[in-house]
Amino acid sequence: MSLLEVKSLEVRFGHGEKQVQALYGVDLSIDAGEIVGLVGESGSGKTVTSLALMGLLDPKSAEVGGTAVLDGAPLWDERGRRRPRSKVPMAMVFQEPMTALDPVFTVGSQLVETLRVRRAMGRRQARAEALELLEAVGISDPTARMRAHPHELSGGMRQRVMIAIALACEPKLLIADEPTTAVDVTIQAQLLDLIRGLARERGMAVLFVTHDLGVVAETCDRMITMYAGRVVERGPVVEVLAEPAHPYTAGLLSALPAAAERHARLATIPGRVPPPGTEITGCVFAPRCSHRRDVCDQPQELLPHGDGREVRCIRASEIQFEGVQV
Amino acid sequence: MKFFKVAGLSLASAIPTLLLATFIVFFLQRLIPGDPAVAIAGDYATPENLARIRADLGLDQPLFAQYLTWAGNAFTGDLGTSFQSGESISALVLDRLPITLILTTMALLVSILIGLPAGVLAAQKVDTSFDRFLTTGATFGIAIPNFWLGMMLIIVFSLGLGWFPGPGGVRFADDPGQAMFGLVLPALALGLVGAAEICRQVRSAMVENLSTDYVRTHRAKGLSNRSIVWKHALKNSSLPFATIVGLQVSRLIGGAVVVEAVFGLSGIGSLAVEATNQRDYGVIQAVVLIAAVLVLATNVIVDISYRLLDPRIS
Ligand SMILES: Nc1ncnc2c1ncn2[C@@H]1O[C@H](COP(=O)(O)OP(=O)(O)O)[C@@H](O)[C@H]1O
Ligand code: SF4
Ligand SMILES: [Mg+2]
Repeated sequence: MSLLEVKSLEVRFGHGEKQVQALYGVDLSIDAGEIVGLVGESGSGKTVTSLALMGLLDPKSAEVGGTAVLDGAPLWDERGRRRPRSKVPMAMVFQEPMTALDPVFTVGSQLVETLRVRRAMGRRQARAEALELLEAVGISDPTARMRAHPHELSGGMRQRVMIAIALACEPKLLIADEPTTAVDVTIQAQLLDLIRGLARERGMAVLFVTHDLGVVAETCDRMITMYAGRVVERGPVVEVLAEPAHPYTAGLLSALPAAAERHARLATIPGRVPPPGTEITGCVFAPRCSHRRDVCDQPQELLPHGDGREVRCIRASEIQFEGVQV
Repeated sequence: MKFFKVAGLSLASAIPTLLLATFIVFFLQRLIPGDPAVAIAGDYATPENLARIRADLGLDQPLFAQYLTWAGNAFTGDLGTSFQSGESISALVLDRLPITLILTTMALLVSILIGLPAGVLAAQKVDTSFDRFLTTGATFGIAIPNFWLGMMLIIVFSLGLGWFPGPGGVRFADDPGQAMFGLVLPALALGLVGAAEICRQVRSAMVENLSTDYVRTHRAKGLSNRSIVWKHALKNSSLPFATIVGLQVSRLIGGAVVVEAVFGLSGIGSLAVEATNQRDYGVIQAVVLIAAVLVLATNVIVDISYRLLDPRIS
């Protein structure tokens, strides 16, 4: 059994007439130590998936269905009652380093309190461990940084602190939601190295959320493409990128600089992701797909496509897409 | 160390305001119609008499010279003598000040001890009937005039139920315990409006903070709801809290005049009322000056707490 097993995860927002569905039966599995990329354009439902797993959607407005088992224990029971977050070996790094840290507490105190809650450490022990964590995420002069407030740190540094806080939870699964989107390219490369290194070192699995296939190519073992709240393709990164099976994955891929060079322009997929609540009967991607035929008007299922791959497109085996070698 | 630096900065920035306040206090006084010399000597005084009184009081000096003398004396604690009683104004004020200070402090405690927890609880239960009950209560509370609330409290709790002594009050020097007890109703009358105001401000600041990204981070790392609300969101709400408390202090000092009158307390507010009736300019000036200093001192304290509470303000 995998470390994380998610079955038909559904999320609905709102109540009664105005209720809209954001996730449609998402299945996910991640093995221990594995890095899985979750990709899709903005609005595909990546963050909603992450927050649903973390239990961070507001229960007053969001309804979560399906099952999720982490390390042998369900994250919530049949009645939707969640295991206390402090007991679940899972942590999350968020996209916005500028706002995700508490502005009026020091870096040290935010780390120390995490260790005290998560690992029942005494003050002194927690302090020592906090210093080690800051060092582990590549922060120089950790003793001085402990006393710093978030606004005194650069975006990249804050993201390192966020990672240290996540590590303080001793997660078996780390969810990283676009952790490098808000920082510049050099810092982005450093953070990716860091996350990959930490995952290997600590045997930690990572669900790496990104809209950037380049990042997936560099960082992940397997990848899942999401579109309009559904998984549309999944498989090992090397194979999917070498030969994408879903027109949507192929479209994302042609927007990569490497692919764009060959075509002398940066391709984009026309149109945009339908928001939750959009009425769709056939293939969800059909309105934007240049390979659409009459067969596409029926609901599409996620079907096996070769070894260890799945794709939600009835024409997948008829069409050949150009991929990239990674 | 940081504290002294911060306190020094805040104090320094208050000095120009203080000077301006003394200016206004002094010159406004001179704009009020009516001649103090006439007030002292009576309507039938001879011109020579009036001239002598003016010379005694320094009223024949140029205005600015009068200001300098007055401000200089005030700075050393000499507020002059009362035209009416001939007593030292400093002594008069010192005699009346304690009761007003205790009253306003108690009222401020009432405001904070009720307003703060009510605001936090309402924010936690935002949009429930509990929240709506509190916010509606607070909206009404803000609209209630001090004097009316004071009279209601007297009618119900001292005249009706007899739980508290009636208006008049015990002098502080005679029986401090009894005097404090007698200040409970006035403090409620003065402080409840502030409680409502603080409740509203704290609620909205807390609601805003509880929906921020950093609170989501705290939840993600497994902090208890109690710690998130009472430690993190509350500390992040401390700027609006300090602001509203500062405003309340100014309001309390003004409101004390009315409440002291309703409850027959001889504090500095009632001193001001008496002095106004008797055209005792020196005393009025002194009271206004003290009020200005108190408000300024509050602003300094609020400013210091800003700088200490929020690391982003340097
Ligand atoms: N709390 C919410 N209430 C209603 N709609 C939401 C909420 N959160 C997200 N959505 C919608 O769900 C869709 C998926 O969002 P999200 O998961 O954030 O996308 P992304 O893949 O960019 O992370 C978007 O259309 C978004 O507007
Ligand atoms: S099913 Fe048809 S419309 Fe949908 S992605 Fe495949 S080819 Fe395009
Ligand atoms: Mg997102």
